[in-house]
Amino acid sequence: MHDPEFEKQVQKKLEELRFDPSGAVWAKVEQEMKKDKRRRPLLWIYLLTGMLLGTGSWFLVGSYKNYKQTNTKTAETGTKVLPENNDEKKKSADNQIVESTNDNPIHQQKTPEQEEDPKGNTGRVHALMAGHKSITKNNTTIKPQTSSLQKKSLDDKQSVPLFQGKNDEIEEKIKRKKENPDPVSPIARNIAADSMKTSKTDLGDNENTTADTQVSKEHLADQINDKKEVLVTRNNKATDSQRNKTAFVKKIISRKSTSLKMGLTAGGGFSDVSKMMSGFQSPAGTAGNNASTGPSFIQKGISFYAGAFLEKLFSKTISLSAGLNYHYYSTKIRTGKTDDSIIYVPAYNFSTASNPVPASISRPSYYASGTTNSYINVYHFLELPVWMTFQLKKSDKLFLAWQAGLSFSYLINTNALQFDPSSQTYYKDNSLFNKTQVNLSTGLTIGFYHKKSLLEIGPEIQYGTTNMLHGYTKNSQHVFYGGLKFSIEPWKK
Amino acid sequence: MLRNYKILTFLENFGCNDLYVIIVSMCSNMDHYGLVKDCLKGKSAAQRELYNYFAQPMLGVCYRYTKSMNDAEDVLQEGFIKVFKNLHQYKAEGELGAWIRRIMVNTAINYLKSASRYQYDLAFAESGLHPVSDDDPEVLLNAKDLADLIRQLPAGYQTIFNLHAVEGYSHVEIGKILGINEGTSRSQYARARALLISWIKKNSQDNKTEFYARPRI
Repeated sequence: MHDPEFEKQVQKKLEELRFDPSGAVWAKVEQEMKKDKRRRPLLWIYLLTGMLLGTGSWFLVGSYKNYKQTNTKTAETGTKVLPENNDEKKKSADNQIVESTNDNPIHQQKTPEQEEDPKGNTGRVHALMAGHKSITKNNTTIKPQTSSLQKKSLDDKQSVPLFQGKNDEIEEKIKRKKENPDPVSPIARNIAADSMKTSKTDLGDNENTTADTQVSKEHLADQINDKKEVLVTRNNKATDSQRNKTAFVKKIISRKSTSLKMGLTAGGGFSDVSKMMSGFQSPAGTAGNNASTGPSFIQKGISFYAGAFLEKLFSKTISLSAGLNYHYYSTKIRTGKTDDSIIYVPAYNFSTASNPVPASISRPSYYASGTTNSYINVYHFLELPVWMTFQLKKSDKLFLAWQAGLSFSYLINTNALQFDPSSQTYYKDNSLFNKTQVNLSTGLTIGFYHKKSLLEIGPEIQYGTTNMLHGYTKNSQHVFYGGLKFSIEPWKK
Repeated sequence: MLRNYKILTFLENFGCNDLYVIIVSMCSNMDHYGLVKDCLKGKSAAQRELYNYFAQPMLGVCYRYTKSMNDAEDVLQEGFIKVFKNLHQYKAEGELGAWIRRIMVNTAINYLKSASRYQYDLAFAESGLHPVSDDDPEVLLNAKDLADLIRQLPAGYQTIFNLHAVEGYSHVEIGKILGINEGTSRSQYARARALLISWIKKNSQDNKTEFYARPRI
């Protein structure tokens, strides 16, 4: 067995073995890691876009369903005239069928089946409101009755079988109503009034015979039909108003329950970075000693954004909105000539207690300081804004609102340059940026309705409270945006 | 690490060495934990900080296993890529440095196996006989000189010596790692050790007349 003393000595000695790796090693490691990183933001973008589209589709489908249901229910409730007794229930049921044909001009024309039917007694009724469902009722065919003129133009063969099965019943009912009119029932009042009118006008000489109940079958049928028609007209008016009321109530209910609205927003203006690019300071404090021209001043650049949002109404004047935007910022700086060769600039202070000397890192491309070229720093952000809207003033067509909120943004990519005072060069290093930012924003908007859409326009400003650069760079850059905001709520009813 | 620097310097200057050591170890672990968390979040700055903290000692490890600095840097680069890609597997119970070192050693062995220039030396000849040296010379060489001597060994000897003498692997483990018998590992190690001791002795004698003498195999 060996004496482990030798191994211990070797171990102890070799523990002290250290070498400075060349800058190319980290450059390659970083490059490799960035390949992996590039996939991550894309994944987030796809995920967020998917979520947004999903939410939008869900909202649209939901609102469409609500709209459809409201319409269907309104149509249903429009046909259901609340009867006051059983007799009127039957009447209104009959009227429903007749009314359904009256609502649609298509039913003013006879179907080929009806025209071809020699008997005219097939028991079919085409009711459009029920989606062209055939209704068979006591083997009685109810022909479409559109107007009194058309009705009168129908021959007896067509009109008589229309109420053939119920003529006796209806006759008795009408008689009963005339004898004992219910003063409370408006339908009964209508019948009474109509019977008086028709007896005076249409029936003329038959007044006495009607009173004596000695009328012929044909006249009675005509009379019944006329009365039913008038009744249908009256009931139609009643059901129309009822339908309108129901639709209005439904609309209010649906608006209250689905007060979450979706809209599109966009804006354009200028962006700026609030502090001059000053470069890094080395831990030894030598940075800037050999500075000749210094870093460029940052000039304003174009900025714009677009996205979608959801708005929740809390009251008539206050609402909360949240959305997802893509935001483009840009600034302009002056640089010298560009060079693609690799240079080594001191990485900012990653020194440790044991290793206080900063390592060198490679820069694959750089720009010399100077003023010959202009360079546009571009920042691509994905933003999640949340803001409150307070309505300040409102007139018939316009309203003025104040908006204030904050947004969480993620820096997707940038080509922004950093200045290194020791080498007097600009270089790209995205790892120096804080990827996540918090911005504060405020603005005024003027809103107005245009073609069932709510449009809003107004000035807004946004300030990034988070330093765009990491703290260890000892440099401070805050993004600023000012511009006009546009938003539209296209699905507002 | 950086934020504790001033406090630690203060303690060191005022002679609180024990406290300094305790705080250094505590802060080191705490900082590593935070650093790993930031690296896992994908923060480039944290990754660079981790790299800068461990790159120097890890290059020393890679240097011992390879024959040139370029190869050592290749291993270091490959090793750090593995570290960052597998950092989620690191459990905070162990020391981060040891975990990274293990990755570096494995990367170095894989590198040696894949590089054609090392393959001849790594084809270990089966041999049950090995010289036994009871010598226990005092190692007066500095770390770099000692490492240079180890690098003069054939790649097979060099690897086994590093794994056993420096990393502390048993011959069974070495056999599994390199795909050889335990006995082969033992004999190769014994030869490597004997060679190295003879060079160290020769080096000590030569140092009396000449500061540094390069041994010949």
